[in-house]
Amino acid sequence: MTLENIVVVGGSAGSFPIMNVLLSQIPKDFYPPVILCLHRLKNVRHGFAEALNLRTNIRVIEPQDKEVIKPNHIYLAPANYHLLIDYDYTFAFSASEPVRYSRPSIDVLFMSAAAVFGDKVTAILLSGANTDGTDGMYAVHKKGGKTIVQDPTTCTVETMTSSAIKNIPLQHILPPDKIIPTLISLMPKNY
Amino acid sequence: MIEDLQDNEVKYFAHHVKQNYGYDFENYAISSLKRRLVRILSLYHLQGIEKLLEQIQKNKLDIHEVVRQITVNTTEFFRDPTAWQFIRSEVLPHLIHKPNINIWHTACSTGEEVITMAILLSEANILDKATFYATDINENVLEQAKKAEYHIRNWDLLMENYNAYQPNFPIERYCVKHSDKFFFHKNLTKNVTYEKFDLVSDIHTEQYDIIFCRNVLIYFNQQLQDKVVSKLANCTKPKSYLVIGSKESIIWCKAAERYNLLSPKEKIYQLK
Repeated sequence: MTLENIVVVGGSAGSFPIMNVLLSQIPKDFYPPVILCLHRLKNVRHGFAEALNLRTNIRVIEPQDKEVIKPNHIYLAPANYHLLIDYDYTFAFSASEPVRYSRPSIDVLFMSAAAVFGDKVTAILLSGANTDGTDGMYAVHKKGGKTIVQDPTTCTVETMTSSAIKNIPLQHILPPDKIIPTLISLMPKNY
Repeated sequence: MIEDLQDNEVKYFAHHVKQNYGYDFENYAISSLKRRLVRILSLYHLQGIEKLLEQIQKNKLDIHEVVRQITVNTTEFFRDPTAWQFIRSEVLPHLIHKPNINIWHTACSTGEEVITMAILLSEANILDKATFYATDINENVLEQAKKAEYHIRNWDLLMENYNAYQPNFPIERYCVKHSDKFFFHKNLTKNVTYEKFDLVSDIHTEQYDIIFCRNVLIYFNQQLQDKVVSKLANCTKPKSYLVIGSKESIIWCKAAERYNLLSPKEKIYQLK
């Protein structure tokens, strides 16, 4: 199995219900790996993947450090670590300083995805209360990857999406229910 | 400003530093190492790896300081409290009857993990027969560790973790607060030897009852992980313990076969 495309999704305050909507719409046979980076409260270190799994067709798992990224999998960045993608298509964890007060940081995940997968990355940014994600979206955009942002008017907190829209010419600004159908339309026919 | 580096630039840096300064980053996980280097370039306003190496060569930048910036020194008192609960209930009972207890903290950073273990041993009334070897690749953090004093901004996290650990005694038994710092009693660390040690290149032959190597292996590639875990196994007494970070994994290492995994959640291993 080869990895052609990869999907990264970032969200913060107000993104949890949206993430549930997206996950329920991802079909069972969706081929590209999907990697989620969600900010969470510092004391909520466990049970997050379980909560996301309630309505999903592909089980969300927390990867292990050095695990090989596989197609048709959905991964969730572990609490209190940055999640990076390495050049051999494995995950690499890092406990280095928070980025924009966040660990895991969306920027860190997106930038490493862009470095390794280049224009094969589709990045999705959701509701959030800080500016994490803007640098990451920029990195994806610069490498020719695809960018999707939740329409700020539909965000509980619009700081994160507005910051990205202000700074980067993003391709798709969409309400939650249009995000996954658009993502699927962007993937090669027989992904 | 440099936004990104190519992986071959990262490899070039690692190669050059190994040849000239003896620090071996060649088998570090490239994506993480790259992030650290981009951060350093930005910190010192340098335009690329060549400039960074030039500054080091001309002694305008201290290589040890650069190493300090590359390595991650994140640590907490009682980090992952349930791991410490497991050590208290499942590991200490096997150490309590030994005439002496030999402990190695392989990447002790600013010393929080050493103090945590010392508190556990003190609770169990076996601190006096423990000898600690506390090492780090970075001498600057060792200097901080030796002082056993911490800024008050670390207090809330200490208390959060300490309470989650469900201690037998109030924290005031071990430390005092004064102005913007808190100071741990010197008797906690009186049997600790702090020393610079590079897990990648330094050799060690001592035998230990418990080795801590938490959140270090994540910065290495698989090949180096295997080498380091094997090195640690060689320094572990039979039926003795290895503690790694709770999100880490050594299942990819050949040396993992030498251990039984006692707690999949806390990642505490026992040598066979």
